[in-house]
Amino acid sequence: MRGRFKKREDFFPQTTTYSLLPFRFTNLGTAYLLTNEAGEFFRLDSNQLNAFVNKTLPFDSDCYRALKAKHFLFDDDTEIPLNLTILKSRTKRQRVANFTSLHMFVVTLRCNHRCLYCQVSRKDAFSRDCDMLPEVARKAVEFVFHSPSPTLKIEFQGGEPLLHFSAIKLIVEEAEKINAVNKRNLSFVIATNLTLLTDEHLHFLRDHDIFISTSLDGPRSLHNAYRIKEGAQDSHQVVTANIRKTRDFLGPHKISALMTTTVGTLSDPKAVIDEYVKQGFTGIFLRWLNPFGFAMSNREHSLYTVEEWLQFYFSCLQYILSLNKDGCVFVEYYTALLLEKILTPYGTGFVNLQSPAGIGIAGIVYNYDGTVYPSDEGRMLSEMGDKRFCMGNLLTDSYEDIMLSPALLKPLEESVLECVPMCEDCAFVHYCGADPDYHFATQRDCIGNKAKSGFCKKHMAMFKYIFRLLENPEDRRVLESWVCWR
Amino acid sequence: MKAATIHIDLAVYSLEAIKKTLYRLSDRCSGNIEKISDSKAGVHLSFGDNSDRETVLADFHTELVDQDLREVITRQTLPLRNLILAHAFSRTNLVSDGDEEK
Repeated sequence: MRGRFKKREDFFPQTTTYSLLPFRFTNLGTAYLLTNEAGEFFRLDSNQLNAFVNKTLPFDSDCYRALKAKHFLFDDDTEIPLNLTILKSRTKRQRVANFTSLHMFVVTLRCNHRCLYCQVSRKDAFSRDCDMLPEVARKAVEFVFHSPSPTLKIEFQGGEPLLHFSAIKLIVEEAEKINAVNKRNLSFVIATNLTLLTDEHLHFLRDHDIFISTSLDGPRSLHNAYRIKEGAQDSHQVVTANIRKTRDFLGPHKISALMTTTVGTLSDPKAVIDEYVKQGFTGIFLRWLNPFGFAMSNREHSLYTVEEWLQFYFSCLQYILSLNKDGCVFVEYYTALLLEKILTPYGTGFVNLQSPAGIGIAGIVYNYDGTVYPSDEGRMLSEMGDKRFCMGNLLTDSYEDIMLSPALLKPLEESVLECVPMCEDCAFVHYCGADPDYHFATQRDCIGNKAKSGFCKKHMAMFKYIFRLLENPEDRRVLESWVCWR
Repeated sequence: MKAATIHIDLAVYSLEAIKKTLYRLSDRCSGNIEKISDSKAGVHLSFGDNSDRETVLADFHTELVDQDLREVITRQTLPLRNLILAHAFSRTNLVSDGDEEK
């Protein structure tokens, strides 16, 4: 049988050299993390990294083969890694062309809660002149359908949007009428404290397939300490009862909840997770308190540091992983968003994780009075007297006037992370995002100095932690189960 | 205020690498670059009250080496990066056909 088959080398020329494909690296302390334009990643030690760049890596090494498979290099053998990088890179940026998918309607500023960390300009439940009028609502719906995005999500915000339910009904019905011809992937969500829910609301929500996003900060004492209901009623009791009622009526997957981390949350991370499990949720979004809007004047934001929040996040994540390993399926949604960016070629629609920034092109805000903002934070700034982020008014300006407003274009142009100092050579750039609102609020500059940025510090630490977890097969198995693979 | 001066051989490290290194450490120290000759630069560092001088100096050297390596990678891969990005944005209507600039 000897000599019957030729060796592989007889059919393929020997590789003599290789070319690097563009990549970035970050020092993790014990190793270097390499990432590339396709969003692939690989770890090398210092010697391997230098050998790789100096082109002295042995062609038959595992390291060489892995780097080739993950599009960090190509050689005489094939240019497929280059072509795949181009393809994946284009897929990742597809959202830029398909703007804007999230449309936030502030139907009223009225609210029946006085939350200590509230960053929006609330009015009491019986105030006047802060509800969205029908002509503004109709104009806003027309505006929504100018967006090229094949997916349109309309989110109702406030104040408390259920205080102005007639506007919600009008907007939903108008949007459905237009969409009968337009045929977009249209969905609705109401961000509500859920304390005013009635059977009439539930019937409408069911008939129009509307999703509910509510707030639950943790166990009763913690929730009620920060989320204070007018009339001194027990907010936690009402919310949890209405969560159950909504689930029974609309189905278990029609409602989700958000928590806001306060200084009271930090000391007992397990308590918040346990409350979410107890209330029947299969996940939690660990949300930090941003130094925006009226929250600044309440000074709650300054009561904990980035380091304290990170410790809280790490503790929560460890606890959630242990729950999953014990058979309780439970997701931390922000980590899941980051994982989707790390592990798949697709981006996410999350506004704060976009480059260029997601303001205006991932999400846009229509205020009750017809003014349009690239983000909710821009709207809050305006309510405090600084109108620099107001893009225009639905009643007087055209779609083109508003979308080409310098209030949107200037921060967008500045926020392409690949051109931002420190981000440009950061290995996490493709997983991260520009957050002009945060940087403007903290440094009075939409880009800011990243070395001094709390957003950067927080995300760097989170990415390093997640990449460390991904090295552990048991943790990786759980984390991979959180990703929507499509 | 604590301070230190580092002398750097410009035949080994570029001014751009030094500037990027200083930017990365700007939360812990401020720096001033003085070009002493065509082949030598002095970097004068001032440390914040909460910064450990020895740790920052060690980080400065580590970061400078990393920045130098990044320059090598950029030199080797810049045309390919431009090619990849041109393809990535080719169907977005965001790429000018060049007429506007003419």
